[in-house]
Amino acid sequence: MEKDAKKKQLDSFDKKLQDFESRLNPSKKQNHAQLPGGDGELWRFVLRSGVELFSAFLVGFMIGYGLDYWLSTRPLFIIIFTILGMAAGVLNVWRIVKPSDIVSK
Amino acid sequence: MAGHKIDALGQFELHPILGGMGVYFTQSELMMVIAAVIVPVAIYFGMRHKAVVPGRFQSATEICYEFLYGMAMGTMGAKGKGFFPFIFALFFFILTGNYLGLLPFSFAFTSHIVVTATLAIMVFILAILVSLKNQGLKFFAHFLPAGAPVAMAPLLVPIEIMSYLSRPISLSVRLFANMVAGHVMLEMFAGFTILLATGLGVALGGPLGILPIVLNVALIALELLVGALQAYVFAILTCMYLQEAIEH
Repeated sequence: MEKDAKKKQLDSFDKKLQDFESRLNPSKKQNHAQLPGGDGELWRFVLRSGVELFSAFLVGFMIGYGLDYWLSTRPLFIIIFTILGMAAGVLNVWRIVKPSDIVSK
Repeated sequence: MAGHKIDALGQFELHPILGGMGVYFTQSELMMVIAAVIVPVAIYFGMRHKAVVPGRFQSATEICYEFLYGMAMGTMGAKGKGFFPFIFALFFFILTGNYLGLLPFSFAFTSHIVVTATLAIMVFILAILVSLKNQGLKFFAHFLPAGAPVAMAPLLVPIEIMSYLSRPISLSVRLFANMVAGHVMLEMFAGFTILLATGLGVALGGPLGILPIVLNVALIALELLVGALQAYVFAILTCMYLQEAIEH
């Protein structure tokens, strides 16, 4: 009899704990299908996207610069690869914000 | 007007500290050594007693471990378990570096792009090697998006390759830029205090000079956040890259 009472008490405690956890951490129950929505997510998105754009641009510029230096065709490849690099930057940002229900590589 | 100028970038200069020994050992390397020593020592002393009911130090160690373990496993999955020590070391090396840099008379080695680029290239090469080991030559097939028409390949493949190559750069630039920006801001506002006090005289400039100090206190708090956040971002991106290398 006493055991039952204790078990009941423990069960209700577990339930309360679960309630609390789901309230503290609502993202656990939902799917992560939405755009960067939560505070932390948004922060991370903001921190990442600018640098992604810049670094892809930089890669394009450097490849173009290297090719031009090698083939002495300046500024042909700098122009081509800088534009491609910008496209790659946009692709990087798209990969961050892409809703997860769109399946593409 | 006193001749004080704000030299915001001078703090990043390297100075050899072991002059006569024939090795160029700067304060940056010293900080790296300290960071590399602090973490294992802290873990050793934290876990020395292995108490069932942990004390404060042991709790802290366990919380750090479990937090990072959860993050790494959540991102990489069970297959990536072997990389967890690497992620752990990387995270705490960067975190300790960021935080050591906030101490007075100290130096933040993560504010040098050589250091962050080395870490990022290490991650990048590791990810490539793991991809090649797991996927073989099929790894290169990822540079043409599945389902794309072959006619588009001359355009898409360079873009994909560049997107891939930009990873180590974005990884290193992000950490480096955040650390530099933070330390420059701290230096600037500290410099304002001196400028106010010397330029306007102690009677007027002194009390006004308190304002930048107050702001600096808030900036230090922000830097604590940024330091942890950047180490976390570095670690989680490493996890994501490794996960891609393992899974696909």
